[in-house]
Amino acid sequence: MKVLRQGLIYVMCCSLLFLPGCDFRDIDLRLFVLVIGVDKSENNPDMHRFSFKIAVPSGDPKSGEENSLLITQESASVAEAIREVKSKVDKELDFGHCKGIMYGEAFARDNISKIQDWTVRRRDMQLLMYPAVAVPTAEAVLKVQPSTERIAGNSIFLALSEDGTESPFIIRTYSFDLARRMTEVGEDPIMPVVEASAEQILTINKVALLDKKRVKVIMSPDETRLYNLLYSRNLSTNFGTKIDGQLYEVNTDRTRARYNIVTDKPGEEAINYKIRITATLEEKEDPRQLEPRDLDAIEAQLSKEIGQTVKKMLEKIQKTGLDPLGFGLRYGGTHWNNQTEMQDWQAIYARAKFNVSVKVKIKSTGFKR
Amino acid sequence: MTRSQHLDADRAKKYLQEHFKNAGDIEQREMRNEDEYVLLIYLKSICDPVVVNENLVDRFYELKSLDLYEQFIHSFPSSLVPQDEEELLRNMLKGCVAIFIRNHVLLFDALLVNAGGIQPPSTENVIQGPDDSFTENIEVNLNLIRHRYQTANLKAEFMTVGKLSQTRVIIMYDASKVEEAVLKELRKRLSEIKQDIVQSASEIEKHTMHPRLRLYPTLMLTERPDRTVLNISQGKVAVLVDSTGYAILLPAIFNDFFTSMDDKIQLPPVGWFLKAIRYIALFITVLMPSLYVAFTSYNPEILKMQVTLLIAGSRATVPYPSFFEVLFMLLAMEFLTEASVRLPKAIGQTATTVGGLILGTAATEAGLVSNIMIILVSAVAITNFVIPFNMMSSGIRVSKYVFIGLATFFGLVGIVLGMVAMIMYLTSLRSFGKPYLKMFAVDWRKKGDHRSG
Repeated sequence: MKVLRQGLIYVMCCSLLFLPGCDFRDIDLRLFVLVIGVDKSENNPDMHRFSFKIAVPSGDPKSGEENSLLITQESASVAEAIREVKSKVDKELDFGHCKGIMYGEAFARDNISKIQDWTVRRRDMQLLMYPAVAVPTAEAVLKVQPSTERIAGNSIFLALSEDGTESPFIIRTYSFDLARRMTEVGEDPIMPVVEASAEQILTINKVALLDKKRVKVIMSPDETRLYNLLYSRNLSTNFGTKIDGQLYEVNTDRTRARYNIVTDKPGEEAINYKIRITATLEEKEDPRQLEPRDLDAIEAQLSKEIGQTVKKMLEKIQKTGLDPLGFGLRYGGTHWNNQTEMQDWQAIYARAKFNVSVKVKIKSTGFKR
Repeated sequence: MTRSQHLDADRAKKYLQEHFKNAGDIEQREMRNEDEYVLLIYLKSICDPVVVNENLVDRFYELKSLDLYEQFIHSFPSSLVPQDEEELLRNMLKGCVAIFIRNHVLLFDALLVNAGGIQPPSTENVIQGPDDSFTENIEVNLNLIRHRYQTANLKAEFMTVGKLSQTRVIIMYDASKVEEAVLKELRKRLSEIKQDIVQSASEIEKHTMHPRLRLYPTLMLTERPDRTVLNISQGKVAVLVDSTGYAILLPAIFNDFFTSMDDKIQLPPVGWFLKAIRYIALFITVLMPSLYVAFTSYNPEILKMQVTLLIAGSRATVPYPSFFEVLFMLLAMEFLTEASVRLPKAIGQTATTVGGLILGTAATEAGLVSNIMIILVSAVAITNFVIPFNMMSSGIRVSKYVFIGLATFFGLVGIVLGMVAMIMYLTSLRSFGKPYLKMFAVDWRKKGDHRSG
């Protein structure tokens, strides 16, 4: 009898194994939201239009067919929108793989701080997600399905993360960095701009400068490249110049930009940029054989031209009053007096001069005999 | 005859007749030569007839007097004079011949050993290395070790364990290197064994080690003489057990079970690589199934997006939760492993083919199991057998289910907790006073002291 009772207890305990429980949701019972898009509602000014791009896993990854589902929902808050979307799908929404948030241009020019705060606050969202400004609207960008895309929504991440393509026009920005810049004194946020330019192509070649919460300026592609030259090291890009009407293009190999803030004489503050570029000659129109002194001439010409354009770009940023390169943070960190250094900086930045010295070194003609 | 003789021959004869009443293999042989008379009593089954004939029967008729014959028998170091009936009986059961000369009783060792020849090791193979292993005969094993380790420091202490089986046990060690405390403890534990029958080396392992309920072996069982010699030279103690093809090496720490004799044969960097491979295999075989459960059910965000969608896609048709899928497949694998051990060699092929087909193709095509699961199960199965010691790999085989349980209930946190618990458990184990999870046999501090003078 006792044995029987013991046996029954074992059987009962083992049968518990067959009960998966309600909260136990396997990977196949979840829907992975990959990108969230936020737009302004066209009808109701208080409402936002949220788009969720959801990956539909296919059984056979080799077939290359990718499925994704785009659900749009108008709602006052993002939390509300998610609850409403949940009633439209059959599985649990999972934001663990949400790696992108697209702010429609109109929305971004208004105020992104509310949504950005939500993305860093929610526990299942990764801080590694890529925020971007979407042109014309986030929904339009999410609808684009490039034919090179093998996994739903992947192409946008590959481009923004620079894991896939590596372009001098793309500036990688993480969600945590954006959140930091939005609260940091002396450094202003930036975001790449994703443009739905054709039915199957996304163009990412601009950068948007923000004040603490809204987009102020969207830079042109050329300015974006120069900004990237100052912002990152070893940027691989090309610069062209014309000597005697003949075009020369160099491909950069190593780049490095440094600056210091000179405040020796009050009223004549300056920000001195030193840029070093090592490059190889890639393209030339002149069929003539190149001599080493020709290289010197190209180097000098390039240095002068890049210096001028960088200075122009910096002055343009200065005029907007924004500080995406973090000059203010550097100044505050090195001229710390506990009270007035940031007010001082406001005055200094407005009148500071930029001196840019560029040294281009062409290490090879790229031609082997 | 100057020797003192307590045992009366007639009484001893009666005693033996009484005790061997129904023993069919008892042989009594009376030898008469004119007026001389000698009686031999022995167990046919364990005495060597050649030895008996050459040394006892032939000599009796060759030698002139009975006194001479008795002296001849005394000259053998293995012959002895029993003090009482019990000693007589015990030695006869060990393979001695009882010789009754007038009213004297003598014992002559004529043990017949039936043991196979030296065969290549079956569980501890190496690629390039000696191809002999211990046999069931303890004398041969002793010979194999003595032959490889030629120093007078190599000591061999004989003992018997088991009340009925009277299994012979030899403790071997290098007197100049062994730790006295370990040796003393071993002698004590061996003498404490109360079992009637001790038949295998692993039984001694079971009865001597504390605590009884362990998941990982704290004594090494090896069938390789070269490993035994290597370990003796490192100051360990080897215990040879009669009638088993294995020796026990002690003390053994965790790291020892991941050493193969290959490591010494190969060039050092290759040896390190092989060892690293084994530790990687350890982690894969223990953690892979539980990580699968944790990732698919609790933390899919850890994986790359591609992998997540892949698993989700391949699991779409699977009708039950992930832990059930894992348990189902792992159990199938264990059945297959067990079956292939038991099956006769001729049918063994069938089991693997059928099992492989069922596990590999049919289950996925039917949509009962995901593709990823198949890769996982085979990875677990293969890595499990990378561990060179069978006892260790069996322990690890069991411990992965603990991790699956933890992952099922607590996800990734459970696995981390399990790891912590396992490390704590392993560090708490001792093998004859040596910390079990001490990763390196070198005592670093001692070395430093030595160097600094």
